[in-house]
Amino acid sequence: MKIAILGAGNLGLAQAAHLSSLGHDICIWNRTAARIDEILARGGIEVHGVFEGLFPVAVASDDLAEVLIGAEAVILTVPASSHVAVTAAAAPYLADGMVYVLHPGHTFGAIACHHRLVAMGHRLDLTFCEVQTSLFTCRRTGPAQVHVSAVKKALPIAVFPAERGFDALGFLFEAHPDLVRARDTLQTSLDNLNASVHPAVVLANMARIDRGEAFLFYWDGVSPAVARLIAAVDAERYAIGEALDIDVMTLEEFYESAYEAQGALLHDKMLNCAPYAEIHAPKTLDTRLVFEDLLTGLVPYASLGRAVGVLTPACDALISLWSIVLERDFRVGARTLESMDLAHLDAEGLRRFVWTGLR
Amino acid sequence: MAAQPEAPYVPPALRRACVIGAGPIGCATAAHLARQGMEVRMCDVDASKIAPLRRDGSGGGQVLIRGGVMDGPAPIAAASTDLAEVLPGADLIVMAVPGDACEHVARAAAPYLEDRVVVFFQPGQTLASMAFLHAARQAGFEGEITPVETVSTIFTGRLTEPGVAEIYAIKRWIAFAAFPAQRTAPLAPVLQALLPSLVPVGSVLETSLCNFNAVVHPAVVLLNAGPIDNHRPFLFYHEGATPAVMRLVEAIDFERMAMMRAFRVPSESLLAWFNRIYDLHSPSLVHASGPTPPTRTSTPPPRSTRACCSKTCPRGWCLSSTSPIAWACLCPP
Repeated sequence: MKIAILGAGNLGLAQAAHLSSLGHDICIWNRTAARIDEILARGGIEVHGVFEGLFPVAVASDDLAEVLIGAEAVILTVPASSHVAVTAAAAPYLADGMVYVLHPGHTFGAIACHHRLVAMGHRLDLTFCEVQTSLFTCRRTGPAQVHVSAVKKALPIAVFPAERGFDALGFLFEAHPDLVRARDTLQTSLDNLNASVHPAVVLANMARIDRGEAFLFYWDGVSPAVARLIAAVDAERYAIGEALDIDVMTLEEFYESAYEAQGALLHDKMLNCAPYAEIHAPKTLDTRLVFEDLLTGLVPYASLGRAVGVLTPACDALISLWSIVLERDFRVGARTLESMDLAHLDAEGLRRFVWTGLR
Repeated sequence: MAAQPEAPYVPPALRRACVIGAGPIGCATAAHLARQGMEVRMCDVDASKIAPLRRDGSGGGQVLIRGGVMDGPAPIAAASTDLAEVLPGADLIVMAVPGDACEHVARAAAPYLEDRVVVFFQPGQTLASMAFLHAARQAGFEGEITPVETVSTIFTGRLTEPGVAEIYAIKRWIAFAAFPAQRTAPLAPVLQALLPSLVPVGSVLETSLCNFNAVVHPAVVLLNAGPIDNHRPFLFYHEGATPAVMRLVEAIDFERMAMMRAFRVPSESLLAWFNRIYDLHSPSLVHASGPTPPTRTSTPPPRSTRACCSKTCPRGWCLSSTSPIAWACLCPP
């Protein structure tokens, strides 16, 4: 099966190598050509860690046409804040019947991309899919090398429109047999746990990041007080889920199930999360942990909260404070219901929309 | 609601003071007033701070001031942890307690307040006058009272041990206003005779909205919450007030200035105040925050984040930042 991977970062390299190992024809795209050149020079992607080897790709290019034409499935592994822009650039080469996977979708990845394509006048018959979070714990060690320390288990995925079911996603279930079928993309969108954590932790450590101090992001940056702020944001996410009749996974449940991290309070669980021993703080405030998790996380949450009548004071405070400090209105250009022409829908209307795809 | 017409205000003669709060500001104010010939009593919830003030057993004791600007002992007529023992008879109450203790003190003091007492806030934080009056009324006080707010403490220093304060500076030009404002002018000569630093301004809106501590402290603490809560030492202003942090401070100050304009009271920006106090010419707070002498040596608050926030949020925080000398002395070189 010919699969296009858009984005040759940590995740794109790991995903491409994994699918290549299963015999798929991988066509990988990256905006900057340097990484592409290195993949071509090596003859594939070099992987170390839980699986190892040099995995060939059929096409590696910085030209979207070259990787997309003829593909049956497209997997976006670019930062979520680039989902819509990359989709707009890819639009001329997309074709009816393609599966369009947002890996991960963050919040509203599928409907944001769908909305942009409709707004551009495309009448494409695509099956969108959101993966709740990244399937690999990995870091890039070179332009074409990636270290994979874990392939995550039992992650939820959802289809948009949900009524199509999972028939088109056989290749993904073959690659990750324990994927969990979520009801719809509202569920995967609300399980965007990064947004509960990252902007709060960076905020509470703003000064030391701003002056370039190196520290362990979670183990040193999260304190009992910071964990209370995280928990407050997460409680709002959970309340929105309840209003939409979605069984949202709480952050505490996530730490227990995904990392087997124990502890009485959220703070204890985060300190008991072994992989966090290697996670360092960002070196600048201009980080994905802020702009991506605001634009495709907290701002969409606050927007959903308004639609379903849930107050989101913690989300709102973080959005306002970050907008002030970085001198950029994060409510503009974010995935709000207004920006996707869905502001007229209530909870029932939203659920119907993600089921049928019809406005 | 329209202002009620009031009969011409005649301020009381100020002979007996009760200073509430035996920290550095309370001790310095008590010493100063005692040396002006007032009978001064003191009260604090902390018995250990009161003990040395009543050491001679007959009820009277003394405060001791060091630090070079007003050194020496001063007599304290009585000191207690119980307001009932020291408050009756006072015609001047000096409130030298954290801002969030204002209502609590007002309720506790209500049964013992003399009619026409002047309640002098050191400093007023924001709206201390109205908060005190309201709480005292709710607690059953029906007499007349004149709260007076100041924008800042007059004395700057620290308590080295109970009853002993090091005072580094006596500030000049401390704006004050009474509530209601028509009492400010009649009170001015009486208060200025005791405390020459005081300068009358229009109303408590002006003093309340010049609460610079509230503009700066919560923002800097919030954006350093992780390291403070995890007990990572750093220099509070020099390291903690980075350009990004000061952008938030500027935004808060902008809102404060907008409120002052809405109330049509004269306003001075934090930047202008900062440049004036420290004799700088910085174009913005982002530039003013880094290398100035007063900020270089100050340390983060030695309390948990929660304590800092609870002190700051209700009506600002009483840690004075107006004297370079004070900051230099807070942290040994």
